[in-house]
Amino acid sequence: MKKLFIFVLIILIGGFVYSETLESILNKNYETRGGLEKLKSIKTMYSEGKMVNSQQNAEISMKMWFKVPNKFRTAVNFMGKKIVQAYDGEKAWWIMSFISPKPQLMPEKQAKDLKDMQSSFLPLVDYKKEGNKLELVGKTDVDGTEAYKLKMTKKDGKVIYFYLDADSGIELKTEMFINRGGEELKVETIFSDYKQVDGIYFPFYIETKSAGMNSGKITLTKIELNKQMNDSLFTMPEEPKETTKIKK
Amino acid sequence: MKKRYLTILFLVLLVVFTYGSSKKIVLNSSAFNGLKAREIGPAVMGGRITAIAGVNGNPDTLYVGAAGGGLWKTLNGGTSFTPVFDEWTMSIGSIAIDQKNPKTVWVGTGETNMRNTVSIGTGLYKTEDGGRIWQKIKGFENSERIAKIIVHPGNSKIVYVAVAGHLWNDSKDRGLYKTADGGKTWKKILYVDEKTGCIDMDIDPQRPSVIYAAMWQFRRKPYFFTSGGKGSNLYRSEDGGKTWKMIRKGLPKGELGRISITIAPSRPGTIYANVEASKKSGLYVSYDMGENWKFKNDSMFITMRPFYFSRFVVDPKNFRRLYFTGLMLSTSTNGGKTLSFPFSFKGGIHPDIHAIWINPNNTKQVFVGCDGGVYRSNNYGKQFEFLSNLPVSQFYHVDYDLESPYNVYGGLQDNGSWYGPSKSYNRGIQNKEWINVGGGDGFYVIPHPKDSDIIYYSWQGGEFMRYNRRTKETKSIKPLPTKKGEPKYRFNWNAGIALSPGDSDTIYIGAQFLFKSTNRGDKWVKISPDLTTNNPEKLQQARSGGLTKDNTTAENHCSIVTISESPLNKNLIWVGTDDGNLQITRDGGENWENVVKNIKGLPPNTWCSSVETSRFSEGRAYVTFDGHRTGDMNTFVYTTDDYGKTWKFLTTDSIKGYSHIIREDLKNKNLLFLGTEFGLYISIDRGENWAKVKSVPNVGVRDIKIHPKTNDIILATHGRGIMIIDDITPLRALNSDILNAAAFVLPSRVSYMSTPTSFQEFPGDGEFFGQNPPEGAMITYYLKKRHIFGTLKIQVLDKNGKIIQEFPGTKSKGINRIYWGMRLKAPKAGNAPGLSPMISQGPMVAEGEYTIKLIKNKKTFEGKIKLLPDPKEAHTKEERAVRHKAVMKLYGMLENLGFIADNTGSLIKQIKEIEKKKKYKKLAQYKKELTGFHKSMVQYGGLMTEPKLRGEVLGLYSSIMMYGGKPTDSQLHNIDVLKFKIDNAKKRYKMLMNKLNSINNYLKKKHIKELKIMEIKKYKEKK
Repeated sequence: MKKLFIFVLIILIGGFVYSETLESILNKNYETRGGLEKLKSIKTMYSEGKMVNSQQNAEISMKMWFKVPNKFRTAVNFMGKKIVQAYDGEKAWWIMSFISPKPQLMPEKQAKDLKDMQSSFLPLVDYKKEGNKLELVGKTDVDGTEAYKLKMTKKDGKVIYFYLDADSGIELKTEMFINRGGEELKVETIFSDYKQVDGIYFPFYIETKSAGMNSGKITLTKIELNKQMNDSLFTMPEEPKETTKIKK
Repeated sequence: MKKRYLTILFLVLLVVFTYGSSKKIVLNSSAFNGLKAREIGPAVMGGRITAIAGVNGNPDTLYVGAAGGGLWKTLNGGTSFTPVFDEWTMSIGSIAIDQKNPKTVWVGTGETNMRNTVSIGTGLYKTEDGGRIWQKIKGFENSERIAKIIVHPGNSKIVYVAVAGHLWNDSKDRGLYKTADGGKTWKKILYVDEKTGCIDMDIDPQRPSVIYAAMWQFRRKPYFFTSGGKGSNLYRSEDGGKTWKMIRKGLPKGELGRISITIAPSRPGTIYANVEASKKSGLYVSYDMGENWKFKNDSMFITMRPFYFSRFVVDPKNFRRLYFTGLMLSTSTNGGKTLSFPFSFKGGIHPDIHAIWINPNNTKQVFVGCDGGVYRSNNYGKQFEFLSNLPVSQFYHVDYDLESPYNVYGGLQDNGSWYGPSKSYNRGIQNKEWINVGGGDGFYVIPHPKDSDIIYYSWQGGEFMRYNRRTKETKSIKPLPTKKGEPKYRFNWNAGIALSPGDSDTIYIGAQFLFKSTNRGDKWVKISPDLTTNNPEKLQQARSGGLTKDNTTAENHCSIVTISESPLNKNLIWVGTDDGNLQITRDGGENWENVVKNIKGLPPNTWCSSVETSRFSEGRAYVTFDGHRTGDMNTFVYTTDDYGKTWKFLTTDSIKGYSHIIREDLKNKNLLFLGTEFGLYISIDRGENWAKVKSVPNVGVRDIKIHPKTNDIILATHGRGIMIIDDITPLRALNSDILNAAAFVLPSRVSYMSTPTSFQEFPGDGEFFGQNPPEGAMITYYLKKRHIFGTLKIQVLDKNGKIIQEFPGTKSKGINRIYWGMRLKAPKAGNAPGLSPMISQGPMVAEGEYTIKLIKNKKTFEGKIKLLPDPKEAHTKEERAVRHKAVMKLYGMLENLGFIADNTGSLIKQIKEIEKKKKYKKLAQYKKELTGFHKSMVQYGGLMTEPKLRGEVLGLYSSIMMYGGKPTDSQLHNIDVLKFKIDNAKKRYKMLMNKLNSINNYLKKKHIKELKIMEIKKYKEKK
């Protein structure tokens, strides 16, 4: 009888004090999303979506391409004006057709922010490979929902925090700080509306908040995995000559 | 034995399983997620600043600590600040940056400017990443006030912490502490007794094992302050704190009070001390490590109110240049021999200086923190500029008027009485929109409910004013003794004042007696006997201060501090006193009963901080008591239903902080709001359960008002200005059933469709903008759990069930709130190759009721919202209809034009593609015609080129939308002119389209892909 009592007690105590490790949390995350094998099988991802502003009744449509390990391109169309931002693994460039229809290298600061924000689309899977450090900060909550807070320190020292749902392990939010020379902005990205694509869960809702203001809510309408993508999609188109000439 | 084990086991399991199975949700903080409190400031006046610290290697990085407004950081030398400590404690005592690793910052909480209204700290904190993540250091939970922290200049692991300790009671936590392992373990290295704390210290930068420490005996009571005693002394250690020696040679004999000590960094042999003494207070200097002291100066500017000032700093490069805190900033350039003051022809700086920081790389630059915020000087403190960007103002009370948008009114600690708008037509509420009505310490500022000219305001000690907004005249209406031999009237620092809810001309003010005036203060009637304990022991304010006498009404006691007339019966009045009486009259003051004796469990003589008579039941009242001024930090909240005969204790474990104010909702009798020293709490079941509103930081909430028209909650915070939570209509509907539903669309107030305003201003990056309410109709819904998997979206449907707009919803657990712009989609007006104005706004939707559908995966939850035209714009229905018709006509015209222009543009583009391979004369000709036509419609050049037809129509569309009423005659007729132009364009377009057939036939023959155009229906559908 005594043995049974101790046994039950151990289970009870175990249930209360059992604490997750970084590894078990990550495993939960991989498992919920569809399994590590499946996640690793992703070579490219194409998605379409729209940015909806409920206060303006205006939509901005957007397309995004990712190719492992770190190439990406986003294209936004707003009132017929094109904004392209892309990174080919080395150079970050953009087309801001409000200013000029020509592709241009991004200013260093923006390029760095962009790379920091989207250099990998499976950061929790590839962190070791990418030379990043990941540690468990502890249990906290995201607006009242229990979550594990993970701290990723990138090779260059940049820090990103991940908040994973304590139940499912799935990403609820990331948080990072962007230094704009003299001002530091906290940028939060919220993930929700997870749906399966080829057996893998992806967030179809991505909200980016800065300094407490709602700054952008993206709803994805389509995700396609492992579509053929040429590298040229990500490289800055060569201009024949005189690319830097500015028309006054 | 076995049996007993089994029983226990059974019970444990039972508890575990019942807990697991019956998870009925009661109210908790996450329910209020979407109820965002907006900080409207202002920052026109600061609040008290207690500490400033900068990074020596990069002086653009500075931290500023406030008395009640938290910790702020700037990365640009003070142009703009961000709060970095809002999850923690708002009262900052000291800041220390580890200059070797400047991302490591130590913060000691609990202010040590020991005035009557100080907040409390919660211990010691450390960050290692410049303030993003803070760690609470163990061992200082009970420290209450940390006076100073010093990081060893050569070894970051060694840190000294001076704990001044409790202000109102004995404490063993006082003294000087040291860690040698970065904060893991601590040793108390200097301790005198339970009454004496460590108020200052300094360490020799060249020989850091030499430490100087000032111990101070002090005690505050609700009615008295004592500075000085046997415990006060100056000490030195030469072995890093192992052994100490008292150093008093040359200092005054007799008892000492507060002492501040500073080593001249550029010549550590020179040590200055500002000494409060029973004999000769003043500045003393030692050139031999404190062995011998020499008197230097006893100017009143460095000796007055040592409990509040005392501190000074020495220029890091010049050992003779000193800056003293005090009523005024005083500086010396000759080692304290003589003093000089900042010189100003203009505004000058706010009095009461508490913190000074000198940029060590450029010692001309000096930052000063005072009761009025932060100032920066670039010339050794001769002239200053104000950094009007820190919203740390300390309000005592708040009120509102019924304007639209309404104004808020309030009085501030050492910053007078003000009012300002709850919403601005600029991007936010600016400092310049606030209007000052009176000076001193401000408390109640109350607009007359019916006469918009009249504002009542008060300052310390019951000074009561009636201000005329139109003429700017002020009349002092404080009650004065009118009969010979009457006792002196005793008014509290923050004397109770109230307006009658029934009669707009009736006001009350409390001394030891309650006074009532039915003619706006011109004549007072004493309607009570002395309602206090009238205890002579507590009437010693004239003797208060200890070694340095200080009588500023801050210690006035045995007086009325809270008054509430029943909205249901004007003869029922409640009064609470600072010495713990709670009095009720039910016959307009003829008879009074002290019912505090009926409250079980309340320690005697506990300060009654607020009383609120119910608007739903005559016998009901809510009352809060606050014992912090005797060291009792508990929360005391009670209610009665029988005029005070019996009481129910409403405090729960979820409430933190001693209580200041309780407010009953205007419409829902179960909805209560409670303000404590650590924030705002709400109950939806009449006090059974309480939950904290997390969007309000842990700031002292001193007053709460509910606006009867907007249903906003307005908070007077003592450190973070005025905060507003917009529209609590959803809270009035919230109940246990909703809390346990998967999702629920909650009701919101009526949304008014205002015409957007415009502004142009470039005030620089230091400008403070108080947050405006978000634009649009509020949609509020509740989610039991955070939404993670599947779709969650919102649809707005008109009365015919047509979807007007669809957008994603926010996903938080609890209340979510999202704003809908009440607009149709912007018209598609055609793309232009050049830069051209864009249209991002569609016309407003029609007024009326709309259905909100919250779609969560397969389930749909419905609610309604109501839109009405903005009543203040006052346009008739007919006028609005004329406008709407005009706008919709232009909307259609824009889309028609856009269709023509885009098809034309598309044809040009297609021809250009063909021409990349080979040019055809026929095509070139057609392209030329198309281009000529296209150029007549849309802009090809930049923004500054002549607007084309699109621009003209767009201009008219926008200008008519700017105004909510009937357009001008010109505007209405101009529509027809533009319509004629568009009709002409249509004709030209038709001709060009007729040619398209022959062009396409030509292309067909050449085996080239034909040119295509889009159908109008498809065009309008396309996003």
